[in-house]
Amino acid sequence: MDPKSNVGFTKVIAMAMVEVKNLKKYFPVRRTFIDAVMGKPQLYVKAVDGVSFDIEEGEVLGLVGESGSGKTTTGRLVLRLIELTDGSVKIDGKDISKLDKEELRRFRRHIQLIFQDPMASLNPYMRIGDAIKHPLDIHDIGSPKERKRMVYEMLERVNLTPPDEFYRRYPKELSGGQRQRVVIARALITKPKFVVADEAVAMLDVSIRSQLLKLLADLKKDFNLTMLFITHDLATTKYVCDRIAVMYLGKIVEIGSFEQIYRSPKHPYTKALISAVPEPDPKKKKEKFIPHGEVPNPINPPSGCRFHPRCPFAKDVCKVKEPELKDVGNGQMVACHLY
Amino acid sequence: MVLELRDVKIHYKTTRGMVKAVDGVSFGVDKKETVGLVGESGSGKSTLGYGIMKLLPKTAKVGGEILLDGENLADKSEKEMQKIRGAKIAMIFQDPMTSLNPVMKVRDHFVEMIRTHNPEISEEKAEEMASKALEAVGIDPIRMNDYPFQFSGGMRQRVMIALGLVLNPEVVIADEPTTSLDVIVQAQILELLKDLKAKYDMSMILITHDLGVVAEMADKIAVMYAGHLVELAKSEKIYYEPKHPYTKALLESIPNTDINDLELKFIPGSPPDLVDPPKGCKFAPRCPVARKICFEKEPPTVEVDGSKVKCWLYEGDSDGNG
Repeated sequence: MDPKSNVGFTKVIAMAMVEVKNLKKYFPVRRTFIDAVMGKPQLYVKAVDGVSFDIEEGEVLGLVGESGSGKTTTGRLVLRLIELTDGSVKIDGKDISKLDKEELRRFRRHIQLIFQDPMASLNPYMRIGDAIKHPLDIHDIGSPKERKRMVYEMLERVNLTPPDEFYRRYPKELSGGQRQRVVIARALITKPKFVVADEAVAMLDVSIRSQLLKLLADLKKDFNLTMLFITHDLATTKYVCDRIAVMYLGKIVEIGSFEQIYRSPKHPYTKALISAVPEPDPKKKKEKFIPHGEVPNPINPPSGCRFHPRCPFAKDVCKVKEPELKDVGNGQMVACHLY
Repeated sequence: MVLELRDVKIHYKTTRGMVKAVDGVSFGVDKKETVGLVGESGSGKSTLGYGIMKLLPKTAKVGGEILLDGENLADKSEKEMQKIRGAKIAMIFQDPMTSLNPVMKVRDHFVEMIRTHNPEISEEKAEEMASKALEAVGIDPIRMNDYPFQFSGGMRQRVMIALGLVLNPEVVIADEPTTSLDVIVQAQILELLKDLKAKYDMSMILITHDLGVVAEMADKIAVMYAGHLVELAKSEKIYYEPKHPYTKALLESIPNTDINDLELKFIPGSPPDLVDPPKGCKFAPRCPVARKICFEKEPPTVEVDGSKVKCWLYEGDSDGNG
């Protein structure tokens, strides 16, 4: 955010399109009846535990992490597909956790999700054109004629041409890559203010994955998309993301521009993620920094810094004190006692 | 050569017609050698792996020769194969959760496996072998008494690997052994496989869609596209001097972590429908340098400075092998 914005009498605050503050989601662990009677304490999976970030208009933030990091839960929370435990999510100035059911329903046209698996997120009995048109019908946008025209334009935009032919087809008649184009078209048809893409290219083959990444990069420019791009694969963030946030066990450990993350990753976990990407050049033996073990159980996360049991640089302080996100220069924020 | 494939064909009868999943693939695997078998979904790479193990459904027709130490596996009966599988040639599967029996303790997986092949081995001895194998993959042998679900994804894959290696097979076929794992765990498993390969002197076929994964492991890379082997060469050759337009395009389309390489190239279109494949070269409709002949006639496999390529571009430069 522009630091100058707080100066002066008129309170003109440069507002981010998406403002997430101290977001938390604790899932209760099911207790058996006997456990409850015996007075065993209720345990929680702290899937997301105090996550904050902003996304400016027209900016794409990559959210990277392994399974269990809480990245998908974060994505669901910012769209209010599940209810948050604590914190706030503001989209275009509106606190979406405060909207009532009807307000939220009406607001949904502005916030959309691109799903991972198009086979599971497209209705097999609905024609492609009708599937893309569906959000327009639900939100009553445009006349029936206009809707059809918008769908045709969108089909062309995502390269499903000729549009009248694709309009009539069913999902099973399309390849995996084409189906994912349909899912993207459906998410963008209402011209949303904010889009979450959850592993949008993860299930596709290499040659198709690059096609879709290119499409997303193009759409980002054309539509001035504000997006949260969730992925487990750091290498895919490079082409679409302006900034990258790395999550580990429910917390953001590092956040910075994509150049900062790639060129000078600071957190040992970020370094590990980058060095773990397999290198196709057989002669280039890159220095590997692979931590031992796997992501621990989020019901009982390690004390202090959650990464300390796997971290080769861990000091005594790391075991007892949780590190805060600190600016290490030019807006790159790291939660690590080394800095 | 430990394993040699000669003109292997695997065809399926489906309701929509004949699918040539693997169509005339030939290559060999030397002792201690790792061959990376690379391709996208539908390229036939996994079908070939299962075909070598003879683990395909009955609708599959296998042609050609699969020579293991000179013996043709294609001629073996199921009974004979049961003796060979696990002992001489083993497979590591992609998803250990579905390939381990959820109601059997890890210990029992080992005991069953060892004693099926060698009934003369006592249970105690089998258990001893199991604990050695588990130690080799970095698992505390005490955990033998646990069930598969009590292990994390990476640990289960280690159990799978230990099971594959316990009888010291000559050839191991690893089918996407790291695909369902997170990046850091993937890197751990790849390191483990490298160590074990050296320790056990084994030959390996590593099936994967990820050229990055094979480059770290393989001596030789075989690239498959729509049932055909389109290029076969040493790993360095594949990376530095790819010959086939598909190999080139595939290499260019891998997302990497090099900040200076921001241009993303991609292959237009999608792989062909194998029920109704293109007539000539299967890659021709997506190929940037396709000519008329490519759409009409299937290209021959030619040898060009040490690489085997199935492409019309090199017809005429052949060392006399085409």
